Amino acid sequence: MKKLLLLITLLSTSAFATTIEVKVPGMVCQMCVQGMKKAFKKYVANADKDILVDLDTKIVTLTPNTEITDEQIKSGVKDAGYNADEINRKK
Amino acid sequence: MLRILALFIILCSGALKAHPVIYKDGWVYWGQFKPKMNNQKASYTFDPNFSIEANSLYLANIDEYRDYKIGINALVKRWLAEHSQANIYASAQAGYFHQRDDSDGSVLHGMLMADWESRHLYTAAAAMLLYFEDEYYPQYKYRFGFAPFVAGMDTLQAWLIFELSYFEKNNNQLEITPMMRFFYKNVLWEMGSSLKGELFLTLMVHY
Repeated sequence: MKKLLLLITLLSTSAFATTIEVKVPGMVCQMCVQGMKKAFKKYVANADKDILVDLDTKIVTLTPNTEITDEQIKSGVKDAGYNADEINRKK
Repeated sequence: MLRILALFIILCSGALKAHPVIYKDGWVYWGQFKPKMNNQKASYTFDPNFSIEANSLYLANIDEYRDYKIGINALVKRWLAEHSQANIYASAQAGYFHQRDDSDGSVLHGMLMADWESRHLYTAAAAMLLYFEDEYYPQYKYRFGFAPFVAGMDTLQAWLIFELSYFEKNNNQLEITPMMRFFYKNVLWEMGSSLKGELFLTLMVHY
């Protein structure tokens, strides 16, 4: 039983220890940055550190502290006024 | 003449602000301040395509003109390219005005605006129509701007912008206004002067 609990704990931790890169074409200004922070702040511990927006590459990098599905990511990007082109998860 | 001048200022004051619709659940405070005029607005974007807005305008020189309007702004269409975006916005507002001589009444305002921007260039055009005491007053504005440098996330971005404004009721006069726009995190401000020397400050905060 203890091993099972340990396994579940490890699996759940590793599921959140993910960096997610989202390609969002068309982001050109600081307002895009604010929109992304607003959309994803509920999924991270610190919006300033865990939500990074690169206006050159058009990539939003998220380090969530909870599980977040692709659909939630797409919905968040849409709420910010944009569309998610690609979603890449990195351990 | 004074009424035409007042209408011109009214139309100029609210035109071509940055995006009338921002991100979902986003709030905007926008204020423009001139020596004898101020115009302040608050809007809430309740959907990525729509916002509601309340605003107030005060003109000291025009019989202490003051109005209060509410309305809705819509993002009609957005095109997203890799390094640029283009938008069409529409706005409709209605309200009440009052002047020192106790004249008052209703005012309606409509706007259609299109813009295109990249990280280096910005351009926008708007057509506006005011309905005021049984008369229509159209006006057209155009802006072109460029960024002398490109800033990253959460760093100061500066723009140099030229604005052309045409209002046929104002003796077909074309107004040219150069200005500087700065954008840092969620705060935007513009400072400039018309070629006639009228200084102004615009402040906008998103949150």
